Amino acid sequence: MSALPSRQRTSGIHAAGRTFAALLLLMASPMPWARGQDKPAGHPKIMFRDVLSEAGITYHNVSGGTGNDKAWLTATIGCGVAWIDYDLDGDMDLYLINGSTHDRQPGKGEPNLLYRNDGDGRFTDVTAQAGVGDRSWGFGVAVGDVDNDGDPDLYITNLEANVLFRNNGDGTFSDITASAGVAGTGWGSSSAFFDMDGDGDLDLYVGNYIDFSTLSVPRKGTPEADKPYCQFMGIPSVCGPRGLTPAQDILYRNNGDGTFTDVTREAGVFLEIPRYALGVVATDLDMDGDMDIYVANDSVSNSLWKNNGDGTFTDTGMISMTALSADGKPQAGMGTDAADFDGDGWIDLVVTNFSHDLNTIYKSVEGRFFLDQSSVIGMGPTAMSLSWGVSFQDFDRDGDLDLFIANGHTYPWVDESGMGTSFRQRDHLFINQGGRFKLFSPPVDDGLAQVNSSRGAAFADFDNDGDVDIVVTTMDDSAVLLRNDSTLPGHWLMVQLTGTVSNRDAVGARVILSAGGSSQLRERKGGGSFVSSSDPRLYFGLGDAVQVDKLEIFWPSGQKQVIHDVPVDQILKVTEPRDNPAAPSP
Amino acid sequence: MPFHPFRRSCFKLILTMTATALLLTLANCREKDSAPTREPLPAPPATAGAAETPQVEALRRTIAGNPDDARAHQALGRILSEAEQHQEAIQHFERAVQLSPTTNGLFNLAIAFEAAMHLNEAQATFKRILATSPDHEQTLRRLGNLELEMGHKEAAIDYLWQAIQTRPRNVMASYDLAAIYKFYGEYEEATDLYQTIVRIEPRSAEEQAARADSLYQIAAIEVARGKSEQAEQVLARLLELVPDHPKAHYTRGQALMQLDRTEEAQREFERHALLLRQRPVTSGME
Repeated sequence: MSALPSRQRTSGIHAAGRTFAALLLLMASPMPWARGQDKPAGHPKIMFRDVLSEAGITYHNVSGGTGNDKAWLTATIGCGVAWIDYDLDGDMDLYLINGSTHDRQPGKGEPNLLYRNDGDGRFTDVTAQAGVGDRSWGFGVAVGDVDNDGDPDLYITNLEANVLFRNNGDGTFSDITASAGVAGTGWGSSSAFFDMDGDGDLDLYVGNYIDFSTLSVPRKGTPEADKPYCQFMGIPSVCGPRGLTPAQDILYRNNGDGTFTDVTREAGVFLEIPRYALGVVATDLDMDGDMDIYVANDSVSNSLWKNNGDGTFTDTGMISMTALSADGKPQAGMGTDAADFDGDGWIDLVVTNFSHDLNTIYKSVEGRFFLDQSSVIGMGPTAMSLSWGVSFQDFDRDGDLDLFIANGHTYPWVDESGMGTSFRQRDHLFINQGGRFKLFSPPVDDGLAQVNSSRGAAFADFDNDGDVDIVVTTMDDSAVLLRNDSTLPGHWLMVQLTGTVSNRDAVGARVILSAGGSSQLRERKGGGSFVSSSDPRLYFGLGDAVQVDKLEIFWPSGQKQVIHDVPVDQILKVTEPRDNPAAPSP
Repeated sequence: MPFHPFRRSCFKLILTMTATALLLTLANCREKDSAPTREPLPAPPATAGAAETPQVEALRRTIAGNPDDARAHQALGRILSEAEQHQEAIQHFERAVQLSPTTNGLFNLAIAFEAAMHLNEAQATFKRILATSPDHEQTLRRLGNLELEMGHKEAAIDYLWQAIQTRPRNVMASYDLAAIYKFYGEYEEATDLYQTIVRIEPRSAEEQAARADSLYQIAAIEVARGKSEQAEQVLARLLELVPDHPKAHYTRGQALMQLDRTEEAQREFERHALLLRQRPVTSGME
């Protein structure tokens, strides 16, 4: 009979594990100093400051009542937020979605708000003059230039009909939902603009959550709610999503004439049993030159719609191993993002999940399939958090992608449960250390130290100072505007792409930056995070590299453009050449 | 990464284990997912109806006649707990403990608090037991798992290690501890414990199930590490004996994908999906 291992012996194995981790650090980091060279002279000092009040933003979220008044699932999901340069003045403006309560008439909720970035740290509410104060019970927002006229338009997902606002180019918008045919059906969650068929205009994937009605879904705490799907860990809770009827996602093809056609069935994305979609990102995971769609679904398997290149899609979630956790379990997917976090040249995925579970990181194996590496990459320490908005961004400007995750529980009543989780939680910033994530521990006065019940999160360099800032919506409260005030010794480059042959937003473009002997990949993806939309400019941290040796741009049209010797610390605007013969993507 | 010699030999042992030996190991694991689990989101069933059996009525009469009968309070508390009437069970256990603060009485009270999701009270009661009985193995194990549920990883590991140290042949505490290490990506420690469990002769159905699941977990860790060839063989063998083990189907599919055996992987994923579809809805959030 074997004796069980002693703790002392396992401690020895701890040391071996540390050695292995160190080896991984050396092997996986894309930046030169991680391969044995010296680090840059200065070390980044991370600091975020909540500047919402001084920015003049007075938004206050309404999401179906507070505390125990939250009687249905509608009151627990929260709202999104978008960065959008609606006036084309070169800085990111802010559009905040708002909700409602069930005792109000449809269309009588709190209005969404548009804040113009004045360029001096302050924002001005221009909702009324812009005409974008939709008062539906809003959830999500996507930004895209649907008419290729050079200014960004807005798509809003609602409990009621969705809304498409066309930017008129003069500071105002027009509601063209009816003429465009994109009102949708069902409770809209995240959506994403992308060019599904390479015809140079933006199509639209709309994630839908639940076929919801207060007439058919039991109210929390009523006798009708005495059902297994109205419990959470034995505690009476709002009902669903399991047990409720999921709503069908919709794929709209842009006809190029201001109208869209619902091609859900003919494109093959119709599901006999829909899947409670919450997060959507459009990305070219297999790098075959067309954009795939990844959908984070709540409580059931996630979907990976592989673009077949002929206007149809195939759900490869299962065979790509991105549908379930490593143990083959469906998780409660909320938000999602896609990026090459480990610098191996392939796009990886992250999905945020419910509390008492890991956020999932699917590492791409050359785009053929994915391995759930969540545990070993470092998601364990935050398993008690319930997570939503998410993005891979280089917050510390060191040349690899860090990870931000917005957290907050769905149920206010967990505060009394003693379950080790709470309604208000800290958001998490993970610093990439050679392909593994280390949780950043903020000082008490840091904006990241506050606790909220966060939901949507969007990312932009709103003050154009060369680092990535964050806006987060919170349940029944004001938003959080986290300005990146870190002391960062590294250099940076932002790339703003404008398509000509390709769609004007260049969604689907890939950029490979080479500097200091290493390279980084960024993709102009569609969607991402949770019900939110981020800065379309591609941000690169460069560490101590003082020049970009080469910038390779792979446009969605198939053209490859190469720019050499690019100075750092600037916003580089690149327009797709019209007269360049198409070159195949690698 | 070089294979640890101990693990290499143990893995070889598993691979060369006869079908009979595996069958013995898995004898009590024929129902899908029957192994004890440390899965996230456990969902206790809804409160059952009243349990006014003659036995309950008799105990109530006894207590009415003598409110200070600690044994009657304990007995009634246990019956009510089994009937999932946790709140009333707690009242009787609390009274029993007031009258006679025994370790067993406190342990029953802590379990009832836990079942009623009063986790802070459960934690405090377990600690009260340890104040007088620091080597109470079951308390150490339960408290370890409770600490994990409350998000206190280090405390959880500490209590489970203490449980192992009180009785070196503590399969279930080892199994729980291994699950924590695996969850947090500490694969070396997890594998070490799982392999030790596999080598211990089980003495109960629970230990047999833990042993069988440990085989699966070792293979799953190897798959996560990209060492799929050996893992696939173990999983294939496990599935011969436990055909409806959903996780093993899924994990074998992952191994096969890594081995470029896509069609076989597809079949494993389909089998896994079929088994998952047969699950009932037990919670709104899963």
